[in-house]
Amino acid sequence: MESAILKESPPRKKPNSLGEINPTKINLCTLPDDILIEIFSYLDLKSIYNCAMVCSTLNNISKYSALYKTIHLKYFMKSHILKSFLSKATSVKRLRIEYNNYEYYKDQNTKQYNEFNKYVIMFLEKSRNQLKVLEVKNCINNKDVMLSLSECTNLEELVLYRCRLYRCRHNCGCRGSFEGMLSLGNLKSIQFQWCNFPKNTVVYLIQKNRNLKNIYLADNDHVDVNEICETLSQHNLQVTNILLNGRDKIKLDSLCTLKRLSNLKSLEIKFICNMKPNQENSLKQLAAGCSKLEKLFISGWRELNDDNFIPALPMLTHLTELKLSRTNITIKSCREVAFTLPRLKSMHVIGNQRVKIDELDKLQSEFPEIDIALYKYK
Amino acid sequence: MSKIKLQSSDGETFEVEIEIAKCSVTIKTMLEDLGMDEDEEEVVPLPNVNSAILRKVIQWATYHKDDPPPPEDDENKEKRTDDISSWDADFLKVDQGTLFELILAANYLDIKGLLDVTCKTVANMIKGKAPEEIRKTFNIKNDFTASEEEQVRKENEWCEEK
Repeated sequence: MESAILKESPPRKKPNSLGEINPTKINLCTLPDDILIEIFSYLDLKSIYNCAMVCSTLNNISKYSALYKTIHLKYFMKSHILKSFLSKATSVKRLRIEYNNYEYYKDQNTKQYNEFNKYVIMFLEKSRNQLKVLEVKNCINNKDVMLSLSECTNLEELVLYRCRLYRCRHNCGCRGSFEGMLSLGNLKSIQFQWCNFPKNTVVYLIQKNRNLKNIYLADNDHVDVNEICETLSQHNLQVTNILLNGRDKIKLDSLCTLKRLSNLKSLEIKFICNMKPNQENSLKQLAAGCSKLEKLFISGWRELNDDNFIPALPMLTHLTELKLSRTNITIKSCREVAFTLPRLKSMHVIGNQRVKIDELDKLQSEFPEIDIALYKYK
Repeated sequence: MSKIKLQSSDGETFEVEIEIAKCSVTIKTMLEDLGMDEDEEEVVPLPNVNSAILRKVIQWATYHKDDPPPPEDDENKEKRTDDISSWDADFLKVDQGTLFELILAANYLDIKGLLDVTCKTVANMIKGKAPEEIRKTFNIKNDFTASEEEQVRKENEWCEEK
């Protein structure tokens, strides 16, 4: 128990678990405080607040600051809840901040927006040194939040979802406030979607955080997926999970550089294009390098067909999940997958135009232990 | 396989394989600190656990004897309660009194796996319930005065919808 760091400890009026307890009278409220705290540690904050209204014992327990390690600030929360979070939360490890997800331009500068924003900033200031996980959603044109990222130096996981900074009237370069991220050096996981970073910001961030394990980049502005692949293969050989979904196509040359990532377990990529038609088999090279791959999802690689897919299979023996769509493979590849990969649990190949449903149906009956995900289409 | 004897609060003794008994950190430390010789016919007294509960604890420990040690709590992750195995869920289909006694026993004997899964089970009984439903489920009396209740309700009323 972390009772030593608690600020406000309820009085210990009950015997602890080593003391005498009459077994016939045990109920939830007679359990020792340390056990009640253990139980409460599995509850979400809403449930904790419900418990606080049940009786004085549970109300007392609900005030332990160690229970407030995960805080989720949502735009429509009443301000007394935000205020009470702020007073109880002295050791927040995981903070999720969610602004209103629509009509942001109307909302800004309203009383509610300013009130919520005030609490967000106070929270970031209060918990910046302990924060391990930070998630920010729908944060539009808000320099202050982005700049305060630079203070959260112990952050290990950063999730930015629809965080956008548009040029303001004063032309003060507010997009640059994304660069607050660049002072972070202990990141293990980044997940960015629909953000408009200035050019190169994400590449610099990856170069700086050599212990990154998870990288999830989807639909961001100015994130060149080809550059990301090359950066990763030079700076982050520890990476285990990659998802890349850019607006630009991934070139085969860049994809091939990922073969240096020998720890890779999960790879999810979309929109690949072949630059040189006579290039040697890229997937085979990739598979040979990333021999620990367990999950492989590829979408939109037109040049992938039975001739270049099947030779890669003997090197993908760790695969448990395979998803291919918009490629040119046929049922021949699917059958080969089912035969060759001993650990395979699921194979989703329905979105490939040359693979027919009745053929897959037959394959499923031959390999009932593999989930071919036909049920969705029947 | 060498065995030891455990004695419950009501005097019943249970013969248990030493490796199974050692999943309790309390017993493990006791054996090490006392330097108990495994050949000796020594009996370990457990004055805080009755025979019915001790029997359940031994049943749990026997089933889980080959489990890997439970992982350390990861600060970056929220604790889950939806990962209780079906065997454990069946094992814990008991009345509330027994469930709480198992929690106390797991805490006293220091068996992290059993403490985790029993606390998760209680947490699942609380989750998603309104205060009045929680009182009903656990037969708890509302001990707030009217003015206290009003105050507590004001402080803890949760509303995030517009």
